Amino acid sequence: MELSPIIISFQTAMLSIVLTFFSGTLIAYFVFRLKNHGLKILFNSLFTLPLVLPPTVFGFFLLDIFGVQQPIGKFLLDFFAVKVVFSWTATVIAAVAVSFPLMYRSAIAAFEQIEPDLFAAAQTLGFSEKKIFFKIALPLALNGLLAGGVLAFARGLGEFGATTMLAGNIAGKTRTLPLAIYSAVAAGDWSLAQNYVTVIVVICLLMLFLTELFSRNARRRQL
Amino acid sequence: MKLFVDIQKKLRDHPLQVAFEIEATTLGILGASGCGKSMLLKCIAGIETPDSGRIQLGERVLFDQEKGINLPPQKRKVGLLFQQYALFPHLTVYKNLSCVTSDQGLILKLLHMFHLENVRNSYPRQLSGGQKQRVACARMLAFEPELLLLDEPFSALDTALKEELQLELHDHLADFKGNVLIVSHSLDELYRLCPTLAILTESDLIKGNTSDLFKQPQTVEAARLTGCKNIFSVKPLDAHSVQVDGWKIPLSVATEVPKDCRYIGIRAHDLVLDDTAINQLDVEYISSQQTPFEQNAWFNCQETNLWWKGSKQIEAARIKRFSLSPEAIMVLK
Repeated sequence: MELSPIIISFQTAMLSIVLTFFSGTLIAYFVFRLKNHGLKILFNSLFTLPLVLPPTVFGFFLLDIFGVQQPIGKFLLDFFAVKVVFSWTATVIAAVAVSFPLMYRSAIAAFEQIEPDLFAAAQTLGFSEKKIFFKIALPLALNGLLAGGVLAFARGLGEFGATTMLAGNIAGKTRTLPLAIYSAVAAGDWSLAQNYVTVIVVICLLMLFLTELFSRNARRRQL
Repeated sequence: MKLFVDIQKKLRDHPLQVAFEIEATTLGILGASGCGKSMLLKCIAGIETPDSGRIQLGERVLFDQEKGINLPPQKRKVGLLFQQYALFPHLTVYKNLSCVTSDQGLILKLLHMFHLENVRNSYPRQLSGGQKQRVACARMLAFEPELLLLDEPFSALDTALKEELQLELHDHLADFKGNVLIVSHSLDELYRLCPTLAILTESDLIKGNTSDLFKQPQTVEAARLTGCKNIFSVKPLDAHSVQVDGWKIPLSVATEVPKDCRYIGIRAHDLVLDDTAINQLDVEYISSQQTPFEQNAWFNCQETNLWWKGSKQIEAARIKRFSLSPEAIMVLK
């Protein structure tokens, strides 16, 4: 069994979860603290969109941004000699794009579970916005955030649609586990596909087990 | 330090309109549930923003819609005690205080003052209701506020604890130099803790000395909020007597009756058994209900209902006649 898809998948999922976790948490907190309800609804819909769109649609958008014929893609190529399309970076971008909404939704839900009076109390006690985030919001939402993070990690690991479109399916370079399964089946190598399937099922099961554990802790903490 | 408040804010079903000024006192705010009492406190603390008006504490303008001033809650130095106390659940008692101030001496002083030394390392969920309230008070004072706002401070406590803690809080408030505002719908609580009282009704705010306002609530709505059970529409006869609509005999009133007087209020406790008094009311017993230490009874008096409260020693069903002192009749707008 070729191990490179497992390694590539892991590297992709690891880097993308770091990016997703921090951006998802920060953006969710920013939207959560907005006072304007209209803006809240707008941002919520916008950031959840990738969850409901087919990944290929997202792949199309990403190609439209990073394609070498497009302004941003051309700029990156001309000035930094970076070609995003069909590179390992592309697998990360695709994974971040599709796993972000899961992180975002989980983080919003985790923040909304906190008793609103706690924020008001912190304000009247002179806490700066930064202190409110680090001292109150983050510790009280932590279990919910971790549960969301694990979920987003598993989603990034299983990303297929947007990855194929933006990163392609280059063996040893952008071929992640889901793509390797697809290729193995396409080539008629049933037992190889089976091995990859086993690996991914075990990992995802483990992830969901962790999610469950974190959300249980989160619930207990509220009592 | 003077507190000046004059704000308007549109609530879901009616506008909140409040204007008052107080200096170095504890002001109780009495109002029906949903009239916007808590909203008023949140506006003063800066958590909610009024639609218009001005709030000033001493020399500092906290809010002025016309001048575009709206200090964030962090800069107002206004302490707010929440109904459910809003203690930080993931921090110990000590840390609930130490995250507010770095002044170690002040923290120790407050822990001592509120008898919290032995629970300083406990988490809020391990505390009793009374201890939670003490921690919330201590934490509020740790920020050294210039004004205290207490939102239904005893509503989350058992009856047994309430009276004890009211006494305790009374002592702590006496040490506080600034103004205190207490919002409540408990008459007992406000009467005990607040020398001045503001009755917040949908149409206006009536402010005065607490015991005076209980004796003379001025309007029908205020009378109801202060617990007056009997309110009748009347026609004034002369400067010291009125006739209740539908009654045959007039009532003598001690205070001067204005010509436009439309209502009177009679407290259920003020109906007494005394054959010699001026106003005598013949009544027929309808029903009664017992409470632990007294009884309520309802009587028919010339086609209107009278609500009486009194000692359990008296057999309500045998009462045929009440007397009512002229001083006990409250003239209302």
